[in-house]
Amino acid sequence: MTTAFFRTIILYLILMVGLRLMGKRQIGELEVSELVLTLIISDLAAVPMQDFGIPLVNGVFPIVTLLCLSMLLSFFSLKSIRFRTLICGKPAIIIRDGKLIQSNMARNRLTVDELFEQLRGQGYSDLTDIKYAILETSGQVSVLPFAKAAPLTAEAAGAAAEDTTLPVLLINDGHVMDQNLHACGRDRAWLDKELHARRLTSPRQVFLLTLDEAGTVVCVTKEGAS
Amino acid sequence: MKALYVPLTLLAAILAFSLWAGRYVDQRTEETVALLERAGEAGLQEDWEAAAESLTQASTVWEARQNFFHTILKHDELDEAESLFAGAEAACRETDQEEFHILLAQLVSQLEHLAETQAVNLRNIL
Repeated sequence: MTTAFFRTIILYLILMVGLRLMGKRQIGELEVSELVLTLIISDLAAVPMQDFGIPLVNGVFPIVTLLCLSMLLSFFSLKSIRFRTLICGKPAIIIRDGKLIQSNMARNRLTVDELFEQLRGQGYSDLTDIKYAILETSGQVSVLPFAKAAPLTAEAAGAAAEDTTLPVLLINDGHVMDQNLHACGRDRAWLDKELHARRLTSPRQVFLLTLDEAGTVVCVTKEGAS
Repeated sequence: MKALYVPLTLLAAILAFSLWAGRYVDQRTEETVALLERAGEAGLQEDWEAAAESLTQASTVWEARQNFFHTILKHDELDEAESLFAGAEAACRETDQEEFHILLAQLVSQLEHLAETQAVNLRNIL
């Protein structure tokens, strides 16, 4: 078991270093430490689950050890910027003033195809529209366009615009969410009135009903409900 | 600091338990092997009654910890040891000197192997 303990630590560190060396593009949306944890834990849990000849602690101890290591890495990442950079890496500028920085692309094993895939996904097809493109530690590319290519905002257009408010779900597939209803300062009587105004007799006829801070009610009836 | 102490405490607890469990298996193995060696010596002197008695004692010592051993050791290796115990007991009853010593040697080797798997050393870790 002590062997399993030390082996777990060694394998965790090896995987961490290995994935860091592979560059950010391999990671996707997870941080390196999270990906390593996910990779190992799923396998560790599966082995004692399938093989009854292996004691359960042989799976449990390495998993707890990994979770503790992960917590320690998180703690030290919060406390030390240098440690965080070592574990998570740091963002890399891939495009500056419309020009590719090829050395940073090579360092992060990011191909032109992969970069363009990410840029197209964000609605950019022309490099000259991009002031900065930054490869984040999560592997995602953040794009800051030149002002001429930036989407027009209401402020830039000088137009008045109202803030959107968060709609609260009051009926979910026929079920009244009483907690949400009370949080909005409404009651069943108000809800019945709203339903009645839409010629509905029961919440069960409603698929979705929301209320936002401006008092706007959006009601979607169930298919086939009159 | 809770975020630091909780994982550190858990890691220390796991390490301490693992070391203790390894030591425990080693001690029980030594105890059992000593009784098996005594049984082997009695067998060499054709004292089958004394051999059977030592073998039964060894089996009792080993069997008494089976529940705990099954929670930390691989079951097929423990089953192999149990099977060798049964074979050695049968050979002792039959007073088959050659078979008895072969099975005894295999049993000692198997028990020492079990203890070895729990030992903390570079060979095991690497």
